[in-house]
Amino acid sequence: MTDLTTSRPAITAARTSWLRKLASANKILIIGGSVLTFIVLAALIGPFIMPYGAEDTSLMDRFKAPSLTHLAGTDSFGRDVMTRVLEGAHVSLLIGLFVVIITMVLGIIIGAIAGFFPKLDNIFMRVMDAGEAFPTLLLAIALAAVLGPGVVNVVLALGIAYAPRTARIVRASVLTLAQQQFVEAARASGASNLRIILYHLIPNALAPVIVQMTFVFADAVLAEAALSFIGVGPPPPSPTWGNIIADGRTYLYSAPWITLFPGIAIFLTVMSLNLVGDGLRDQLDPRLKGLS
Amino acid sequence: MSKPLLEVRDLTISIGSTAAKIDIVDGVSFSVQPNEPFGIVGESGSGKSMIALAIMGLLPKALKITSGTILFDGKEIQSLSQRDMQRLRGKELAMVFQEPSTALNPVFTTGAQLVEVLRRHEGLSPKAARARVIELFGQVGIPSPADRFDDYPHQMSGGMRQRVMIAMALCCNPRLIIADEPTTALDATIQLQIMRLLARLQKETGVAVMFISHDLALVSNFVRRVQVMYAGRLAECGTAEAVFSTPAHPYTEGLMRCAYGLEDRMERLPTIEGQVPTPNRFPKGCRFSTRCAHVQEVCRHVPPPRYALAAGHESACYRHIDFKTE
Amino acid sequence: MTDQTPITAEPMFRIRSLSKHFANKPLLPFTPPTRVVRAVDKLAFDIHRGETLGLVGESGCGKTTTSRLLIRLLDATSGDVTFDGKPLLELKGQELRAFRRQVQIVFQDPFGSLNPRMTAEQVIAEPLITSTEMTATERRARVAELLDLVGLAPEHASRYPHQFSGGQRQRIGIARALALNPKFLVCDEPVSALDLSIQAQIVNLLKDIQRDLGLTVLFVAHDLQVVRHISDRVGVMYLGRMVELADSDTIFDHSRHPYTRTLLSSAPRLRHEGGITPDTSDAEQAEIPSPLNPPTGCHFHPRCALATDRCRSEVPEWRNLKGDHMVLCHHAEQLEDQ
Repeated sequence: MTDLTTSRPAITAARTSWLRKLASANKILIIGGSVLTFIVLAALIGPFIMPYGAEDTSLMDRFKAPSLTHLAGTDSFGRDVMTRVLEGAHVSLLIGLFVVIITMVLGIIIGAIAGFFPKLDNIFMRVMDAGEAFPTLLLAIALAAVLGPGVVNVVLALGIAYAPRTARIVRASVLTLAQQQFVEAARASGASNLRIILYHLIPNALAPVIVQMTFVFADAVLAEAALSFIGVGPPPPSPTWGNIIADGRTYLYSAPWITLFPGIAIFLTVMSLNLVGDGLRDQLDPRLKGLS
Repeated sequence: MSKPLLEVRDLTISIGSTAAKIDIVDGVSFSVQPNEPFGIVGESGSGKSMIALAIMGLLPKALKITSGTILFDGKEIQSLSQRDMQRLRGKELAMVFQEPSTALNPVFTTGAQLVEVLRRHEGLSPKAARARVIELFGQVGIPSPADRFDDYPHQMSGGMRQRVMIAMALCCNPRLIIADEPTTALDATIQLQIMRLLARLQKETGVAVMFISHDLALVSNFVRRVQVMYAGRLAECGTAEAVFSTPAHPYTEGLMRCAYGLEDRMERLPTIEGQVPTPNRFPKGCRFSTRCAHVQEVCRHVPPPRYALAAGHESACYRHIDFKTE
Repeated sequence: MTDQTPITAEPMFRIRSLSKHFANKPLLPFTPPTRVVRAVDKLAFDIHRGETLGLVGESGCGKTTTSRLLIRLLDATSGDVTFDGKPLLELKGQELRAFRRQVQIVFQDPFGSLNPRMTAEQVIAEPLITSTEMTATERRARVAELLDLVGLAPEHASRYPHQFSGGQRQRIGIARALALNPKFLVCDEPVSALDLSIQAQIVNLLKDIQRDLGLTVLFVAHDLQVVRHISDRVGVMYLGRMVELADSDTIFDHSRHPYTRTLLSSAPRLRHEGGITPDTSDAEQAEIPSPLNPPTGCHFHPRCALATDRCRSEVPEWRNLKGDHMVLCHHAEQLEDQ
């Protein structure tokens, strides 16, 4: 940006791209949102309308290819894969949801405190650094190893593992927000630190956190699948997407549908969450507010 | 008058789709002569900065020129290719922005930034470019210019940075400088220095300068002709003398009362009541009608035409003659 | 304003050698900081009950810091300040909270000073929630009263800041500041971000409120013109020091400090005859020196036409010329009325 000829077009180029995003943000959000809604509805209603139980075995019906009676075929125990995928959606989505809640609560509390009290900042953020230095999955595996496998432990492990990134985002927002005059105004009108944090800082720092949460949700779904696959997730026979894939991997060539359908479910969930995240990010971008 | 250097005819700039479009700038026409200090005065939302961006070909994409033409030296700016427009911007049209700290790149020295412009547009050798930059620094009143050449922008005060920006605007001998609120970010004592510098350079080099400002009093000291804008439309234009001695639009008159008010101690300051309407609430007729003390029924429904008064003095007000006698 | 409010012997604020230094973090622990800014340097003045005191100066002069020190939003480095006869800088806990209820501030930036996620009503009610025992109904009534006081309509209560214009936002800021019936109000450049036609509305409003509520006001601004209309007395600051303090008319018509005069002559005046000021010489290139490294002696000497060797070496004394006209200049007597 050394002179007018180069600097101004650069700025207009930037403007163009976010305006284009504004035009398509809703589209992304709508597509992602509808796919996600479909998945959630399928997970809620599916198990009730499917004629089979998720753990009903039938030796007669082993390795049936997808057909009208078994939409996604059957596995090595003759269990209906579609029923199991839908039932698994329950577990996977609930794990995602609780991971998001834990991450959000931990991240916001730690981030807000670190950002607001400079004296605690260093201590808190160095602990976060240490947490972040571990690869997420490895940390989850280690925690699962200590606490033992199980849904609750997977949720706790992932929630703790994702918290540092969220804390960092909250802290960065709080640091800039704390300089804003409305915070000084609140202090001048006698608001306590707690009130400033709860009413003035956190609500204004929430937008990037919400975007981040959609990505955490997607990551958690993937991580749960990975943990189940290597056997440290929720123990079988409970049908999670990771467990179903783990069951099917031996028959990948003879009965690919056993792994294919949970794979598609994971793919659709993660993709729709990412679309929602991208759409939300553009929607919540403060620079776009002035236009609406 | 000779052939104008810049001619803006019936310029309309709109935002939004054709179905629900809002004219941010509506049917504005004016011209700037070569060698002329020209002023555009308006408060926030008057569209003055949008006109500057339109002339520079730098309107944000959400805004479109929906009608009218901009002629620079007889050439229509909108029909120029991207490349020709860039050449025009670098060489013949220059702009001085309000905020000098964001317009300079913080990682290069100020001298180096000017050298680069000179080398690109004028094809000077590094040595010659350096000598020219030091000369320019001297010309814009930077003390010990050879030493300041290697200063980074953050090592300079706001006033010095604005001098650098002016040097940058001057470096390719442009024919028109658009100065958009060049002193608004500066302290009062520094503001006067910068305005006087611009006035001196204008006189010495003969470049035409378009001052854009919200400050009526400031502009009144530095221009020969002036155009007053309100909510995207022309309110009044003419020679500075005509406009500031016999204002023919209630808005100009109101602004002037606000400005006088500051000069003499009064118990109550004169005001213009109400708020500037936001673009989605522009009134149907005259856009000033919601705040005007002399409003008539017709003002609310039909936008007033431009009435020619004396030579070059025009007012967009139905009551341009009789509102002051009320 | 002047004639209606009797100035009692005991001033509201009595400020003596008030200083605030900002230091950077030292490179090594337990070593002195490498750079110290004397943002406010040994101020001494009084603020009388019921008066409006204007505080004027350019960027870096310390006017904003001074205003924050007086309402304890910043802690002073040293000094002796009394508020209502009580030592202000030593107030703690309960007493400090009680003090804070009596002082309020209106901010410069009408965009940044309102929480974008709160409605006008929530913004104005906040001090009532934090500092009173009012019920929700009582608060609602008080907010309605305040909205009316600052010239806003009742339906404005439920709107968010971005739905207001700059001038209206500033009215909300004023209503918030008045919510607790303060005795002392700091106005920190309340109109400098507003359009000229709106500035006058807000100045008039503040004037009315000051008179009707009998407030004591500290009006901080960089613009002398605006200050003149609202202030009984005006103090001028330059690089952390107060250089002149007198009643408003004296400052404007009989200033005895070269800096005040420079400031006065830099304000643009409407030129009715149009055309270009014949005086376009731009000989003066002096900058405002950095507060990090201010000139020795009198800070203004590099820009001053009257400067002598004494000004370069010796800090002038803060002295009373006559009739409470305070000035910080060795050569004040040389400046005659023009």
